[in-house]
Amino acid sequence: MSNVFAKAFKLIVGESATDVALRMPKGRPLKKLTERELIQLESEIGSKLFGVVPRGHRREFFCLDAKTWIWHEAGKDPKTGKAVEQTIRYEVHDNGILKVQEGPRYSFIDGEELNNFITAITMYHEQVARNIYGRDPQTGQKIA
Amino acid sequence: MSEYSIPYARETEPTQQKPAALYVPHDPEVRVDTPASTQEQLPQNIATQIGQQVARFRSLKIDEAPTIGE
Repeated sequence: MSNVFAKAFKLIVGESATDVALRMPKGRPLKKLTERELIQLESEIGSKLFGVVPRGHRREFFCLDAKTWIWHEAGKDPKTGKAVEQTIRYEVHDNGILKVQEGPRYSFIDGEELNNFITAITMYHEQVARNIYGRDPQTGQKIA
Repeated sequence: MSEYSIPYARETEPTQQKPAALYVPHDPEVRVDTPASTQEQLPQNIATQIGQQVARFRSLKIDEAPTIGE
């Protein structure tokens, strides 16, 4: 179990980690899940919203809290072979979506990137509501 | 006649909004009501609603009493 927490911690803080196959814990399908385990499950869905992950890469995309979204990708540069890693935090503010990158660099997203972000979180919401929480994404009610 | 004011100018602030998101009347003589949902459809408001609902689902799941497997 401690291994799960270690992976979740790396997931949230954006540190490098070996490839992780995120799956519903086996042998206890109806047991209570922790917040970190739920985030891991959500991220498994989130990582697939942007198309195929290149071989040897790891991608995460998840809702950290009501106002924060995390995108993280790690892998090797195909040209140099060097390990590359990028973590982006999207913060929802009253006047826009702030993109915070390492550096630190800050910018409000707009145009295609903003559209893509909204599309991604809408799909994320639809899929995690149904597939993880068993709820209708529109009404929030449990799906029978 | 009272001084004319541009309709909805206050509603379209703050100024960091991009022009595409602003309501721009073509004819200042014609008053067109802004849909009530306009404000709700701003990207940040959509993101807020989604984020809050995901967080709520998560919270409800955590609070659920486990039925099997404990």
